[in-house]
Amino acid sequence: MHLFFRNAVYLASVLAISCTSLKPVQDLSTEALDGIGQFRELDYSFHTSCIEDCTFSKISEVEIERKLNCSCESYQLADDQVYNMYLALIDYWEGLYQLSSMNINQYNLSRPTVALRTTNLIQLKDEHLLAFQKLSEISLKAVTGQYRKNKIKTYMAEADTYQQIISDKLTFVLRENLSGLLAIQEEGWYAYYKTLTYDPTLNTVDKALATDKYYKLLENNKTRNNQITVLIEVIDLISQKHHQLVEAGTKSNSAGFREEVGRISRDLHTLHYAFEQLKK
Amino acid sequence: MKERLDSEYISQLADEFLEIAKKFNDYRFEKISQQKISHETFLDMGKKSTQLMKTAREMKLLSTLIVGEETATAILKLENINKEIKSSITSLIDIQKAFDFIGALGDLGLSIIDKNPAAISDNINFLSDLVKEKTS
Repeated sequence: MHLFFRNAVYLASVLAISCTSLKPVQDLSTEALDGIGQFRELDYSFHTSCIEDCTFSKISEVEIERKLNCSCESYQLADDQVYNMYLALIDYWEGLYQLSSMNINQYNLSRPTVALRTTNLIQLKDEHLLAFQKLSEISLKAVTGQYRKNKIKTYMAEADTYQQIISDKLTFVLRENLSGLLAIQEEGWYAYYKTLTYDPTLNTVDKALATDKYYKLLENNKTRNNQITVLIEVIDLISQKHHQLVEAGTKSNSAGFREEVGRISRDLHTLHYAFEQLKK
Repeated sequence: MKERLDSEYISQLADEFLEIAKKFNDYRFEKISQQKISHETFLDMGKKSTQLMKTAREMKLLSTLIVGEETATAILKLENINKEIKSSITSLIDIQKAFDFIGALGDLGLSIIDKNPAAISDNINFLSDLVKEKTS
């Protein structure tokens, strides 16, 4: 009886320790999934940019056709590329979440495989291709039993470089290229509407309407730009903190780890709130 | 790592093209305000700046979809020429010269998008000559 009691206490302690140790990772994964998930709510994409630019050109030329004929296939390809980067990160954090909550039966094993298959591998050079493959492999291993809950640190350490490469590439594309398209679009509007103000055939009312339209378009783009900026901050923050935790070799059951994860969660909450505000 | 640099470089180049298009727009708005150009010339200049911005858009796309190494090497020389154009375009008195700059830059942009290294080199040389001839 005494032995049974001692074993029961031991078992309860082990369970308590493992639950405590996994909770911060679970929390971090939840925050990361929420944060990176804001990507789906972006009100702008390469394809949208192409369609808007094409429509604007037709308006400028007063060109009416039965259908809007715009060839934006390559812009769709760019969106696919971006979406696959997003999916690779989401799958990784999903794997980490499932692993930390030991709820691995619910994990959809087909997703990393689909992400790998649909990624346009021809377009990616070695570094990114390797990052995609590794991150997907690690996600699969995590849920097929090669990793156990006490191996989360190893898992995170192995995935760290790859999640950084993909995060860097994704934020680069969002910051420089997607936001860059917004800047080009704005100069297009500026040139068009300002040109109208020099048109001798238009009266003052027409010119005032053109001015009004221009500033409304600018305002709309400002919101889009802010959304992209917040998303970039979220992805950067998550990637950096993941790296810092791995670098520091912080024990996943230590008070320091919990404290750090708590801080990251608060930062992410703030950014998430900023993003929500932008939608209003 | 090389690919990343190429991708970044093309993206930066698109920013440069946008900057030049902006300066060119400022230039033509200034000239029409001063009545130094006809309305027709003003509109023609607008078409050129639109073409330049279109090229910048395609470069942003190309940067996302990755550019080939050969193309990247061919355009590495461009940086100084772009600086030169940016600094001189707003001070140009000769309208034809401004047209030539923008036209040549537009052609160069198209050859970059087509990833045609031979055409890129030709256009860069032509631009270099224009810059050397400069400025009135």
